[in-house]
Amino acid sequence: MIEKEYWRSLNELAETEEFQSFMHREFPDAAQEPPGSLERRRFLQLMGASLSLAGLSACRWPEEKILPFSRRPDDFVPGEAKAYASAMELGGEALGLAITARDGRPVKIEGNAKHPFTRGGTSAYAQASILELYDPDRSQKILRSHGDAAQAVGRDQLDVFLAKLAEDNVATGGDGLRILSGQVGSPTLARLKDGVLAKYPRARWFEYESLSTDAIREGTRSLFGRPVRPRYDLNAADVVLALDADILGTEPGALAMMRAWGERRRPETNEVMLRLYAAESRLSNTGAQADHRLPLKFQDVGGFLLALSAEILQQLGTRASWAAPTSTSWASPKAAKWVKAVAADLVAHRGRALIIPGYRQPAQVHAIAHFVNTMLDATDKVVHYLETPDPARPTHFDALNDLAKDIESGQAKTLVMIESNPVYQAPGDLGFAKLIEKVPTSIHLGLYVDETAEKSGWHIPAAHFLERWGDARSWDGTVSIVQPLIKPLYNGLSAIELCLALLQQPQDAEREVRATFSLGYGAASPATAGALEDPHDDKHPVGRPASVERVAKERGGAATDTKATASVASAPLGAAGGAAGAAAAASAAAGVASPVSTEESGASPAVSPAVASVLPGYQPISVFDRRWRIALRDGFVDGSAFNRAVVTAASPSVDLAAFKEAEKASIEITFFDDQKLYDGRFANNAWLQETPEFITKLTWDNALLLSPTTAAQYGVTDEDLVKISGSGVDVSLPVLVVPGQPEGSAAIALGYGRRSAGIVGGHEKAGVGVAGFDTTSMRRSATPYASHGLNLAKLGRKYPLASTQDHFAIDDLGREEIEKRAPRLIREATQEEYAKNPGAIREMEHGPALLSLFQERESDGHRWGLAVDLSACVGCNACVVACQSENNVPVVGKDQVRRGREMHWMRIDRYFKGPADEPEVAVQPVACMQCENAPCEQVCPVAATMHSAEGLNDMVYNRCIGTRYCSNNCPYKVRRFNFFNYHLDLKEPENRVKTMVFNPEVTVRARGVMEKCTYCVQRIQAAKHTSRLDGRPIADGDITPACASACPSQAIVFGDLADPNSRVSKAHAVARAYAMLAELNVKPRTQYLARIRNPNPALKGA
Amino acid sequence: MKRVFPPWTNHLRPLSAMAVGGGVLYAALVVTFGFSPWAVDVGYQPKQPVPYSHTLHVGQLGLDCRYCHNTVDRAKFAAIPATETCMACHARIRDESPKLTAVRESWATGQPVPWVKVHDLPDYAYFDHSAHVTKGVPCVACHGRVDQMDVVHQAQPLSMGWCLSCHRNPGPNLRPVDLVTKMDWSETAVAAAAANNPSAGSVKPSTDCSTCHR
Repeated sequence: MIEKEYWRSLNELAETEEFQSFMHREFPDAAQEPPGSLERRRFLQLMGASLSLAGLSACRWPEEKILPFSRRPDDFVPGEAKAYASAMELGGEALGLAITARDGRPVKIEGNAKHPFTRGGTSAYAQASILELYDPDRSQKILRSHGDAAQAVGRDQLDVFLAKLAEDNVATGGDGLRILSGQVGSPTLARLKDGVLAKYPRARWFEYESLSTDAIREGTRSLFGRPVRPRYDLNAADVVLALDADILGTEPGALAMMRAWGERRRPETNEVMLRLYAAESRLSNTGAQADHRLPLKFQDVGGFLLALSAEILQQLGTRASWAAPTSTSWASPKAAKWVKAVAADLVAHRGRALIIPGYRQPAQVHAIAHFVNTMLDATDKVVHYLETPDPARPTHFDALNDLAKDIESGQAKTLVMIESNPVYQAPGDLGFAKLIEKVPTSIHLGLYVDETAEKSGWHIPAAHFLERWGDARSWDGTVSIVQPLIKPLYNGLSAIELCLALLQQPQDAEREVRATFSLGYGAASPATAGALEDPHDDKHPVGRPASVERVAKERGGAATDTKATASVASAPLGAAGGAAGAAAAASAAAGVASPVSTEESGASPAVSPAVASVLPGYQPISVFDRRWRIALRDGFVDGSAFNRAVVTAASPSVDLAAFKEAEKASIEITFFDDQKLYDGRFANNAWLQETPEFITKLTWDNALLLSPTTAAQYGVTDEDLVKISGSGVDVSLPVLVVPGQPEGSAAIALGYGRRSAGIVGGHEKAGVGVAGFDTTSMRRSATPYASHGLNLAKLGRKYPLASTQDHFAIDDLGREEIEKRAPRLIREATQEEYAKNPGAIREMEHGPALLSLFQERESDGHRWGLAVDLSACVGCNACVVACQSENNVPVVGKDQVRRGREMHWMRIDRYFKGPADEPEVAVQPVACMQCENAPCEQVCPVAATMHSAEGLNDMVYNRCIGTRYCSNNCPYKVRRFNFFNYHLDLKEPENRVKTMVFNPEVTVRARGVMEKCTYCVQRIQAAKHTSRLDGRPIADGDITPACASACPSQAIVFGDLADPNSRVSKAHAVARAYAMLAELNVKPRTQYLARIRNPNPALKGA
Repeated sequence: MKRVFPPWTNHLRPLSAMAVGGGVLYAALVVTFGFSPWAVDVGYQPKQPVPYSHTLHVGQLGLDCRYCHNTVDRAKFAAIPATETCMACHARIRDESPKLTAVRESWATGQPVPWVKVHDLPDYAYFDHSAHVTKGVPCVACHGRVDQMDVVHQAQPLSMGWCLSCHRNPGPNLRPVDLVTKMDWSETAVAAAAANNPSAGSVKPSTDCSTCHR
């Protein structure tokens, strides 16, 4: 059996003193001291004050009010949860969501399992977006700036201003009107954009995304003649090469690929497992999961692809039309071996093999990769090319350059910025901070008063996506309707409403979204084909084709204006969700599956006289309303995905000059999205700031990531501040040494260093320290994801970084005698080894028969258990944030994280294995195992942690006196202690809104108590109540803890171990299931399924 | 050695000893009984914004509890009725009574009537009405004779020990499920019902911590 050493950090590998201190102290250095020095006298004063307060307060707690509805909606049950389908848009790509609301208040984000593309998966972004909704730092007032001072003005003044703006521009045809937005993914916004440009023919609209994926468009455009969207189907693939593509992380459509990954990597259900190669310029989630990984400088990826494709074409019996580049700086012996072996593997699996180029790579790399895919017969088998909307749109960086030129030349007189922050996000060479001051009238619509808002003439608070109507499309084009879950907290406007103001139309976003729905989404499907009239809409929407208007007139139109005035979501998810949902469900089959002939106009069907006599005024639901409600309820419009594009590839023209050899002397810096702050828009989101990044485990900061060898070359180590020069702007930031980073290449996460983010992300004017370092100024619009030829200089100062990688390390050092036989915490095997000996995983553990000191509890009821499939887990952190959201887990801040006091109930342990420069990576999510012989229970002096009949370690916060014995005795180190009252800030009136994010089903813990994962016991109880009311036993799958529900790769399964047919029982029964530290006889209820790798035998030892 | 106390104070010794001992005993009694939920919670009777009388509506008119508290058998909260429920009758009956001003105002403005919570469990205790009512725990077991309360007060301590006493031995409190809202049951009727109640044996309430605390 394999005997390899795993390590978590370079400190551990070197066994430094720092690591030892983390290992041997349950709570690290100075954990027990309060923050800052509190003098004894001051302490006594405080104590005296609190005692007298205690004496003054009455024996009863404060009087509470119950505020029932004046008119309670029919299907509304106070305090009960209800889920509504909606979608979140990020970079023009939608993610199907199901949002749980209680008493009209959204409290939790889940994935929409019905969504055909994302299939219930979520990301950390989506999970954390609920915190953004209730962020007290969100802008709350319309601001008008006069020079330096900004003044809050009323809505009436804004309306007057916008009306005048529209009038003035009508007169000039929009001369000087410039609009900047993010990528327009919403069909309604796209329609309104066309309307604006039609109304103001001389206006221009620019779309800019800082994390642009336009290289995909431009690459396919140069190869196929027009841009198309590749949708990769990993379910149908056997061999995949990810070429600097984080397909299990940040790549567009990643959620679908993660799901497929989970399905294709289980040896139980796959005779042929998917094999993944990753050649990449930073260690990403994809590289960590890959069977083989090749670190390559960003600049060398193209050269590597050229050589690889030449080899593939040669093996296919044709010849490349280009010559391989002569100089090959990347051509290490390992890379050379790679080219041969990977090419052979791809060719051998022709029709089931695929190369996926990453969006950060230049367009040319995409063109070559897709050409090779065509030659590998991948088209329509493992990659589906889809028509992309707005094919004529210039790239984001070109658009921003054009806008900069317009401003420079004075042509831009009015600049409307819709949810865009160019001052922070624009590449440094454009100098947007100065440019924007040259625009006479600038208007900014955004969630925060950010860097751009501060320099704009007008700032308008934006509505959060949970507060507004809209629509969005996922990567494959499936349309989701975005429905509001709550009225705008701060009267924010949506982009649609702002466009309507420019169009001099009434600001009714719901009507516009319905109008777009009635027009169809341009896909060939019975549900959306053709135009369907909205019977409630007598006014013609903007941009509606003339033919539709004619049809409407011919059919006599439907002139009733009885528009539903519901301002919040009306169609709950799931048939059990009440009257509207039930009605929609009943009609779902009939209404959509079979085309309705006589009712096609969308008007209500005729009411029979008998019905009319009984129910005067009764109007049956119209076909349009029925379809609309089905779309709202399900969270997507059936059959609205983009049409398949029929493409033919010509041999790409290769510009060899672009593949010039990387310069050895200088350093290359690449920019990436670390799945925390995105492009900086989530900088004020404390959950995301405190989430440990997957590889570095870094919180609250970004850093310059260097490989150990490169760091040694420059004589720098962790936390050393360095100055990067050569890009025109000198930037100083700390170094973090990361295994797996290519030599001579450094990586920096984008989105940090926001100077006007808020209390969390930093606000210079308010004196709040900025989290991380702004590196967008180093970006160049021509090569936005990498800068070359840079120099590093050590500054000789240190900057503290808060990385959790050594926290809660499980101590298996103390057992040197049994080290060789010791079961490893994390176990792996190759598919070959596993097939030969399936028992190998469990045989990794040797020991005497286990005897218990205690009388063990028998259970005759449910036995809850959990299984984590390490073959499927990609380490995306969605579960960590989902747990934080579900269980009211507090945020502690950078200083506390440095002391090891982070409160996450779930952590994702990440282990390296092998050499420090090119390690393999293993991940393992760890939360409370709910041991049957729980060591924590045996040491609690006050019975604050008790065993339930169903096998949960119940934590009773009220009994806990904070001895922390339980934590000391926990072998998994999953217990977290509230060193402080992390909710003190809620007493400030402006922070009251933050209490709305709490899950009312979970206690908010006080200072001085211990807490830990409960298997989401509140969900277990809720499922029990539901099943009791329905008069049936709890079915497998009724209970999904927050982590399992959030998981995009379905790695986590929860259920009843007492039921031998439950999914979790079956998972525990497979040969690769093992319990962590089983030799302690604590009998954990969580078991892991060992990761099975599928390496290529030809690459053995490489 | 100089005497501090004159000799006659010797007679005071037992007296002062009694005073000290009595003081300790008194303090213990005050803490035990004075701070007990029986003393501080039972009888809590806040003033309500509307002088609604359960005696009239339930005791005399015979309204079923579920006419107003209509989510009690399917949700955690029994639900204080919406103003609409009041107005179903009071739009026509006593529609000008000054006692109903707050109700009519709420109906006109859409603003809620600010009722004061009487049965206020701690925030860390999670109680579910439907779980109890559908198993045959009658309203009267926790809320007392509401049909005789002009202004509602708390009849039981609702303390953890009190909850557990029933969770450990629910039998005496159980009724046939269709009679849970019946208020006036005599002791003998209760005993007879408990003996005949087919569902009584199947009710096995949990005493695990996480049943009520999360």
